[in-house]
Amino acid sequence: MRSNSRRHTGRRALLTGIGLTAMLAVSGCSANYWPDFSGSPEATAEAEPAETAGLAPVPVSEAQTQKIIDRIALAAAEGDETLDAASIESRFKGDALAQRTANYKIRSAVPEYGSVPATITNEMLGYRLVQSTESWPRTLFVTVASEAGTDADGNATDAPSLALVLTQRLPQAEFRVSRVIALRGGLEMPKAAPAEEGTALLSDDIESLVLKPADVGAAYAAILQGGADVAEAEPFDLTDDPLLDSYGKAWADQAKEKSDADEKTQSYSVSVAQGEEPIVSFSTGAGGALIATTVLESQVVDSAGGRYKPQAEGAVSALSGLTGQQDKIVRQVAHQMLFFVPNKEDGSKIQLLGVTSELVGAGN
Amino acid sequence: MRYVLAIVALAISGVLLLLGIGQRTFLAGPSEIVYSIGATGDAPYAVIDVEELTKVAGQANVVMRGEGTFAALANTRDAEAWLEPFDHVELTVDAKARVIEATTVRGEAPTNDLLATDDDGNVVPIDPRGSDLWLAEREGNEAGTRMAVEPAADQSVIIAGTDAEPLPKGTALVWVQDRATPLAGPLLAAGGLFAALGAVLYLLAFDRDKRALGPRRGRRGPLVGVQNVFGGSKRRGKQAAADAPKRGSLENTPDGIAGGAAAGVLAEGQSASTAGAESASTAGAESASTAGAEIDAEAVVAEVVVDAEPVDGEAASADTGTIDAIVVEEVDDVDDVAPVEKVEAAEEVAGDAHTADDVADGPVDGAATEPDEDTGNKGDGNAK
Repeated sequence: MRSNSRRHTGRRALLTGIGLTAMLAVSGCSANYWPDFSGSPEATAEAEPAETAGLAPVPVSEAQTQKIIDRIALAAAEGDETLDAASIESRFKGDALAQRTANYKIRSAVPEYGSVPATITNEMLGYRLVQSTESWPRTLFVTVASEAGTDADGNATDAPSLALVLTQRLPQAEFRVSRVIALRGGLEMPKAAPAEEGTALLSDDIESLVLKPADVGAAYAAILQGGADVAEAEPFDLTDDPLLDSYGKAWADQAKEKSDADEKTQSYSVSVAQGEEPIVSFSTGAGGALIATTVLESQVVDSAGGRYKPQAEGAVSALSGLTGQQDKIVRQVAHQMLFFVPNKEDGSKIQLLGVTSELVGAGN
Repeated sequence: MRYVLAIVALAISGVLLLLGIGQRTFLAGPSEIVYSIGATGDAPYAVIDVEELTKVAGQANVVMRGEGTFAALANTRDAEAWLEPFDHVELTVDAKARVIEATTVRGEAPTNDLLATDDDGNVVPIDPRGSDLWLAEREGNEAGTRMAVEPAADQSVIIAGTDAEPLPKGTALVWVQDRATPLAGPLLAAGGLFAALGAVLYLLAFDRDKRALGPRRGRRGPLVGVQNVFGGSKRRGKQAAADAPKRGSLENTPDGIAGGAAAGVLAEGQSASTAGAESASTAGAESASTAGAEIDAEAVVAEVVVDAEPVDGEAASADTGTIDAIVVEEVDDVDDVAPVEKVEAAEEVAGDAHTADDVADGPVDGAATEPDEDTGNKGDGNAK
């Protein structure tokens, strides 16, 4: 009997051994069972750059900016499609909203209207400035690509890069676009500190620049009204200026010439002033400032008591509701402008980096 | 003593295997740790600093259950600024008590026109979805949605219910535990090795132990001792089988019982005859009742013992028909001569059991006997 039980024990041990070996072979497949000798991965970089003491915080990361731009592009696309300003009101304000609202109004009434706002895409370009602040309002300067569309006649529209000025008024509010400025081709944007370091918003009366931010728009308005020869033109680099040839004094002169050629007696005048929307001045952090402002130009056509009276039609009718002959018609064009204003000691001149012009009002 | 090594090896293997398996089963911790947030207050928003999530080890997740629940990750500064006008709860993790503690924070009156206030002057909660402040956001559903949160400095998670409702009950913080058990594999492998080692050692020890059993010559090859045990056992087994008394032989059977059995059979035969059942059985019964030395008849009777076995007590006269029928069938097989003596022996006792009722006990005891076999050999011992 003893040998019998031993024999059984031996067999049992053997079977157990085989079973366990099989189990091991199976369990060995799972990586979870074994020590990891591949070495732990190197500590991954922090998603957000750690803020070190003393540096001003940068409130909006690039990813957040992208998300904001996505939403703005979406809203703008919907507005541009439906020509309904209500769909962009949550994301646009100020001059940017005024521009699109007027444009939608005109195009709803006059489908063949030639001016189509540049499409805002969500493709961010490299140039981005973030105001470093802990509170509100917060301001961003973002450049995005545009997309060539077609106007009512099927002609391809320009696709300039766009500079967006965004402001968040309160924590519970959204970032809204206050200005959309089409950048001029062939110009290089001024050097700026990296967005990760943040930048400062300058007050309107800071003295370190060639021209106080508050005065830049006014000075340019004077140039537009009086031509490139006025005294205010001195600090500006007006080479290939995109406005001086067709707006302001130039417009009045050309219109007068044409009118005279037709032997009409209408008088043309123009008055240009800086708009009331707040000026936004970003320090580039590299000796200068980007100043976004709006210049409002009022183009006046007056019959001056003569036989020929200006006709209110098309865009003017759409905006003002006026039709037919009027004694006087005032067309208001808003120029959203972006200037680079260098520091005083820099010695260079103020550059017009971009402008978006749009007929925003009419009346008499 | 030779077995000690084997036993030690097997014991070690057992411990190692137990530990290895245990690491994956009963020693393994929970797969995730859950702290419930729901019902920590009636404020529509809750906020928790991501730093709090590091108090418990594991990959932290915010679980939202219910349509319209919402969670967002934001810089702490932004989250606080957003929540400032609203009543909300600030959550902290108490890892010792394993709960989440909530501190209610009253909203400050807004200083702007953006937010509406109700009649009591409290700010009407607004929908946090889609705010530009959030770094990441996620909406819950009925099945439960998870938002994984990586620990990062100066970030907070805002959790909101549907509209102005408090957080639903299913809302929770969950820490998924790392289930990797890097020692389980090595432990199991080592345990397996020790088991194999122990088995081999045991085999060797067993072999040595049994070497002396067999003949010293004539055996070759490995593990002679084992061969002795397993090879020898076959032969010995056969011999033993031959020597051992046959099961059920009369040698093993007390005489009284055998006699009783035979008597029972006889009685059975009689009752069958009186019942006047089938002709065959009647024939058998008649021969029995005549108590003659007619061989055929006795053979039948002897056979009855065998077949009556299962009938047991209640068999009585009713069953006899069947029994006898079987008897008839098997009559041919019975050894011609042998049963005679036995039947005679049975006749001696027959006087005791004349009625069919008494017979009932007889065959039961007779069950021990198998007359067809042993009567041939030893039957004459009982013969008169």
